[in-house]
Amino acid sequence: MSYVALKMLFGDRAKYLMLLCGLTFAVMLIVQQGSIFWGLMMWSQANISNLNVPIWVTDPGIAQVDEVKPIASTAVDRVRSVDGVEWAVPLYRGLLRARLAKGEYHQITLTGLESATLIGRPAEVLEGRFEDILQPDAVALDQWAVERMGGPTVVTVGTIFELNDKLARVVAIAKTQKSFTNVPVVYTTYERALRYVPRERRTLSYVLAKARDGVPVADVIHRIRAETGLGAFTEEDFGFKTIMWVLKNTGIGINFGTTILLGFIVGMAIAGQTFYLFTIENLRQFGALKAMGASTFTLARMILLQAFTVGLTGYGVGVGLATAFGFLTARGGNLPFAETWQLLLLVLVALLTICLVSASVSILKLVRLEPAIVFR
Amino acid sequence: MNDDSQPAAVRARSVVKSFGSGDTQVTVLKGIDLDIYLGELLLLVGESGGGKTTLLSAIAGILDIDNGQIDVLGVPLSSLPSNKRTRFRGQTMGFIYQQFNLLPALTAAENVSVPLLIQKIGRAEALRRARVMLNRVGLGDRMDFLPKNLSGGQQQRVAIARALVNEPRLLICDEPTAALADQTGKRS
Repeated sequence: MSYVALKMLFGDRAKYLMLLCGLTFAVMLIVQQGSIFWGLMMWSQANISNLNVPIWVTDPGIAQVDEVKPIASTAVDRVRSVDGVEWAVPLYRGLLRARLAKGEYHQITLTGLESATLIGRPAEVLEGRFEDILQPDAVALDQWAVERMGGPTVVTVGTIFELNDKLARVVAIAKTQKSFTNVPVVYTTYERALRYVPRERRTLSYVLAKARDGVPVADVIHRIRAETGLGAFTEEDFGFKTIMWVLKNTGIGINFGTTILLGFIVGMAIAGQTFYLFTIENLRQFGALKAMGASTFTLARMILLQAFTVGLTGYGVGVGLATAFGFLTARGGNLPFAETWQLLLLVLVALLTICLVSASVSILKLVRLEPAIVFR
Repeated sequence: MNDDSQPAAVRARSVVKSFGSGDTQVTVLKGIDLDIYLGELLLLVGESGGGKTTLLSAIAGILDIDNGQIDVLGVPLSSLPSNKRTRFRGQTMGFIYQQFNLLPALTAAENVSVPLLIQKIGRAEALRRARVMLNRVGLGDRMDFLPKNLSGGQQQRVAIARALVNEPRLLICDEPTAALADQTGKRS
């Protein structure tokens, strides 16, 4: 009877396409909105992920990556002395103003990397050589800095600008993930970064570290906390902490969360209702099958097969369209769009659940259906 | 036609069926007693709303009765659990409905094969038997037509073929030739 069920489903093309459109739209809406939301969250912790280091050490009261709480410069050696730490390097991060040749000012995030290793440097360089930041007055920019500061005709390799009245010469342009605030990032060495910024008692923003191979990162983090009194986090934990801060302290959590939830409810309601109506419209046909001797169990199996077939087809098309949307609009990295397998799995489970629920409601209707309907 | 020495194929006693409740309640079957024997052709004639279809539905076991007893081929159909009644109906009865009730997405041959598929006969064998039956009702050249592409009379013949394909012992028809041309109706 599976054949009959599928023929019933595909046979009335108009009805089937309407059903498929409803489910596709629902899936597309949820995946697209969910991916944009998660893309935004990824942007909010881009200042962590762009550096790609496993352990971040800083003030224990830190709330998120951009809220720097400077620590004593001795922290680097204290972290290095913790058992299980393979290496630990200093990182400076702070806001500064850049003055371009024409007198234009731009706020930038100055990032100072340890000069010996350049740990935390971007993985991909679009122009120039990143190692050239070791030259006098040399800095590197991320590609968003070029965009924000006037474009490649204004800022390129060789461009000179001022940071706190001191000379800075662009030697490289790196490719990074866009950050939530999209403040241009200027990379230089740690030592030079301290020369650019006004003198403060504490200047060390973070200590970046790595656990020795074979030593559990969690154990090392625990020891750093215990032995130095500092806060230590894995890259993932620090990223999650930043995401949670953004959700709690900006309107994104409420606004986007509401949009997604509504999209989810509306999408699922459309999916469920459309399939339920499809079954109700076919009730007479099911009544005829029941009169001819088809058991309720057989009919229930037919309805479930129809529900899951159309559900999975709608899921595939919906995800495909949402992915195409993401590919076309977020290609240059200008739109946040992170389509994760967790989101796809969640939507799949939700869709199959709603198909199951609407199929169950239809089956209940079938159980109560008197096949005498076919004589009327 | 009745042969009292044979057990009745259908035996109805004091069958009562009402619809609605309170002031709007209508009792359609008021204590019907009926015996139908194998080989017998019984015609129910009456005015519209007189309860003919209700009695047919009750005999077929697709409508629960309020009171009384209906035995079909010696089986107390009215007191059987729903699932057993459904199985019994599929194995022993064929139906021809006034409104055809063909599945619009299936071809004529596929529609005729449905009662066999319900009895878990393989699709190829079910289709083969369906084609034989369609030939018998004169629709050999319309096997792969969808119902919407058949005339009313042709649709009714498909319904008749569907009712006969599993060789039922009891054929229940509700105005089976209403849509047929006079000549075809007589042949059916």
